Amino acid sequence: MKVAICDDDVAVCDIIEDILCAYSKKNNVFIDVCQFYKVESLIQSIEDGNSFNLIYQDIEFPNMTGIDFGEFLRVRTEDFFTDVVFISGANSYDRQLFSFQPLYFISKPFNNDEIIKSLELSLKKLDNNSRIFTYKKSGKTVFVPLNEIMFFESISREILIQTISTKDLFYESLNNLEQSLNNSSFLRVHNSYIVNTRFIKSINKSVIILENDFEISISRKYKDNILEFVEGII
Amino acid sequence: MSLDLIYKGFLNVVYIFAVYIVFSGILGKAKYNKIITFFSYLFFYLVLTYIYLFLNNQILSFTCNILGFFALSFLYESNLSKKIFTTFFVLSSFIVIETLFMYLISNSYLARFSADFISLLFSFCVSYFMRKKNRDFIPKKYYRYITIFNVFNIAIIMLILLYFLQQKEKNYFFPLIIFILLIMNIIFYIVFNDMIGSFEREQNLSNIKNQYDLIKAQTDNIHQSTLELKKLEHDLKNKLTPIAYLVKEEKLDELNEYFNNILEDFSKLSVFKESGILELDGILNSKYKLGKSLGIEFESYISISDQLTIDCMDLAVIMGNLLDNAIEAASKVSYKWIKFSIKEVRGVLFLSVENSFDGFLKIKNNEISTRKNDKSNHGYGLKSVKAIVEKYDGDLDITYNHSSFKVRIILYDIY
Repeated sequence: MKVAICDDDVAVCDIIEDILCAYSKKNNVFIDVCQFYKVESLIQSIEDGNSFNLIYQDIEFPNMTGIDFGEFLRVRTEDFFTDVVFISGANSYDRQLFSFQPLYFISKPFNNDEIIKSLELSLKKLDNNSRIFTYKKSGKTVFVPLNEIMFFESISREILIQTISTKDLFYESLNNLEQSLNNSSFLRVHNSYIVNTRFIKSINKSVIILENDFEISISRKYKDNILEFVEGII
Repeated sequence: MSLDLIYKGFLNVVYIFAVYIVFSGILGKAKYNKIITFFSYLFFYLVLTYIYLFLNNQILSFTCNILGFFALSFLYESNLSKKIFTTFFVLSSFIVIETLFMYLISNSYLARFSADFISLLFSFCVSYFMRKKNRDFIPKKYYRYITIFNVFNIAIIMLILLYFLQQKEKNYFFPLIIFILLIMNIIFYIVFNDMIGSFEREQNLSNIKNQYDLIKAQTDNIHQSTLELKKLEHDLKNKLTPIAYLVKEEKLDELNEYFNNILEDFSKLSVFKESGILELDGILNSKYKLGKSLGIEFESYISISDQLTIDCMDLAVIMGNLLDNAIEAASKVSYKWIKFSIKEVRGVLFLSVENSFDGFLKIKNNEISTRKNDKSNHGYGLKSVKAIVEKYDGDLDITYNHSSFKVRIILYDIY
């Protein structure tokens, strides 16, 4: 796992790196850590082709701030896979930060547990990345990485599978699909919809809006699922 | 079909409509959808009209009315005593109006016509009165008193009717008694209205007191923080001096320990991660101190922006009430803990308070009720929370098992 720490205070970067290394040794997980002291340097590194699974991002900087970084990552490069944990010395947060869908918020001074908790959350999500979804169409088996599926929609006896780049139809019942998916990233929100929570941008009383502005209707029957999902984030 | 039947049938429609208006005014919205409600009233109308037109039996008519009213009251969401109250109140009022007109006006068509339209007018007045004052928090005992009053009303009328039906000559004594009864009713309701007024004023005062307490908690919090900050500022100079010495002497272990001590002091200042919203932090800190003093352990996660369009007083009232309930319950068990969380995710605001408890709940009318002894003054906490959640069209969920109790709230449209 590749982790970046971006904070203008070297001490903070060192503390976090120490915690991550200790965890890495204790749990036999490979963690590669890079430190950055300016948002500009981190952005430059990503533009040069480096990518990270998890970034610990301080918010307060003299020049480009954590908010600028959020805008770069989520808005400019449209990367929603990299997990970001915001670190802040302030009490309350700017509302823009929430639109970047951070994995976690940590405030200074922080303790080891918070860093570990956010790390484990990110590791869990990473584990999911390698899963593949399969379905049969015209006798052939089709493979799709789970991470690329945005949602499933049931249309009469078929299911529409919408991925980031394509869509396809195959015969299956949504109930069977729900059972076989058995995946915490996927949520049943309506009689006709199963949504990949990774792509949820915002939730409304009657509708869920996805990253590409798709709108998925919610039915009250499944509102408990949504409640559990919201509770479980962070 | 004779004109007579049509006329009577039409007047009965007016009568049923009056019943519908006054029932919805007192009992509120119907539980079931409009179709079921409509057909229930229609069925009642048909039965009543049949008895009235073809059977012409007063006692049967009266019985049908009383049973019908009581049955119709089940179309609405309310407790049993309110249903009984409505049945007797409406019955009594309509009987008074009807008998009065029957005996004042000799022409039975005109009498019936006037009675039904005056009943309709009466229904609109009652409905307007109930809606305008939004009478939701009236204690049950008042309903019981009026129900008894109305039962006696009906009893008097029935007894007099029975007596006068036996008389051969027409007598003006009877309508006079009915008229006096009407005046008594009016006086009674005027007095009752005043009583309700004073009860509502008391409620208002209690609400104002709650708001005042909230503000006071806030001010105390600010005051406390300012004092502690001043103290820390003052100590800082003293604290910095030893550091210079320890660095110079390169006593790293002592330096480390010294810094840990200072950090501990800082963490004692703000009792937990604050939200940054003044009103909310005031109430959170005050409940935290209260809970701590009772031996309750707290765990919290707060991440919220201060630019929400949700009224922070509403948030403070929600958290204040939920934490009060949580503290009340957790303090009763041996393993005392409360976990709460206030966070903004995916465009919604999520609030949750979870606590340990002894597993016993009092449930009345499908709602959780207070376990405290002073029933008329307690049990409003969860009600206020529900009212606020409804105001924002949010969702509230309560789950519990034998050892823990959890309330979760989602508010949408937070900007």
